[in-house]
Amino acid sequence: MLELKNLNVKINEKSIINNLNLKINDGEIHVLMGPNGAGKSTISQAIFNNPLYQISGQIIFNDERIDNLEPNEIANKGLFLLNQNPIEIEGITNAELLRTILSDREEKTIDIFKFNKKMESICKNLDIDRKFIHREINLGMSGGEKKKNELLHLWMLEPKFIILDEIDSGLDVDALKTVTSSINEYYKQYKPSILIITHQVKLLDYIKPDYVHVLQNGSIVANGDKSLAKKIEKEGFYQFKSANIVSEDNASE
Amino acid sequence: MQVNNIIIDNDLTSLNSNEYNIIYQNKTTIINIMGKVYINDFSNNLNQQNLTINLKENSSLIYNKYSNQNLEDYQLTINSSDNTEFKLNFSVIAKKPLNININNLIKGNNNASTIRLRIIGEQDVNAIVSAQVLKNTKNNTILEDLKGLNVYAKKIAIHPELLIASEDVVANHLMTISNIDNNELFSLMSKGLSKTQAINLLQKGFIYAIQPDIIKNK
Repeated sequence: MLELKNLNVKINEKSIINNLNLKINDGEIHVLMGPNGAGKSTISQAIFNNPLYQISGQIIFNDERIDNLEPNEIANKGLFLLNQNPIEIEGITNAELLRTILSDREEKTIDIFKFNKKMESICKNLDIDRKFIHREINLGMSGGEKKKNELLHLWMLEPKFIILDEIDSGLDVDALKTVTSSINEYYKQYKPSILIITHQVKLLDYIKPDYVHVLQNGSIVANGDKSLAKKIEKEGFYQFKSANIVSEDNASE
Repeated sequence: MQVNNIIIDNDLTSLNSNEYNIIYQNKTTIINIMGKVYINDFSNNLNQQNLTINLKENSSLIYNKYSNQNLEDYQLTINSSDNTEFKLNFSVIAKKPLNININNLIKGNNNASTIRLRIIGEQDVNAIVSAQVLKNTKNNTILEDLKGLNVYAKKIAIHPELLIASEDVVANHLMTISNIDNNELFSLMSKGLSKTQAINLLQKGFIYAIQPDIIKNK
């Protein structure tokens, strides 16, 4: 479904990602792990063609190149990015944002009654007050509330491909459980593909991946299944420091 | 609190504790405030306005104003006496070259004043926002929170002024003039909004962020 082919990413002429290849099929859950500064989050920004990054290579989604599309066109193909630090936006409510996107996507005025009912039901499942519907986007929210607020967007927009960028950062145990159980529930209902970006193995106790990849200095240096994550938990990322590419039965590659 | 819809066509008006939705007919008006008063100013058609507000002792006023039409010259003077609280939330989209002059004169003790201004300049804007605290006054606080959004590459000048002659005062000003924030723009676009939609929504958010629902819905 999503394929990164010979992806190179630079920011201010500094090379961050080098010749990276990755293929994620329909319904698969992949984890991209790596130490701080390895370039993990850069990949999520590159997939969404953030104009701050210079990208070369190919990004293909459902057999169509998306690396030349605008971020909104990529989102409207069915991709969703849950950022580690969701941005606060003053003066725009969740309802306003989602109504605008959905009515534009459906090319008609949306049914406000159904829209509100769905929002209320999602708020209940996420254990957040229904007032979140009319709160300004992430404004004045705690770290946990921001992640839940982004999940509110995810459930409303129903993406087919989800990138979870360090979603565990800033979450306490209870919030992590709520957030991950919501993602698991979404996976159960919609079977999207998921790319998890993290440096914490702990997250994988809550969301079970099919494949694990290790990113070091902008390149994938190891591929495997969940046992690779367990190895990282024991031995850290240091073992990959001078490694050549290690492949462990990665059927998706 | 009762909401009153009124048209003011006198030169001098007194308002007591209540909420008022006001349309001014005259270019020059003086208003005396007594008690706890909320004003939503809906006079969007005037191109010139010269308003003086006298805050009597132990009074408070929240004044909300939004303008997106003809305004070219806006003069506001607030005279604070003793034990008063004043909050101005003024949002303006300058469709024409615009001069703004806001002057808060604090003559007594125990006054709190917050002036929040949000400007989008479709044309050039020159705004002077000054707070003056007289000598031998005590325990006054002032905050000027002034922001301009320059999307149309016009000349926006905002001058905060704090003229303080008292030793017992806390006076602050925050002032920003910027374009659309690229991170905010990317964040909205990555949810599915086109660039134009995202910029429109960000402008709307900027201008309405300080306004109550009654102004937003209008």
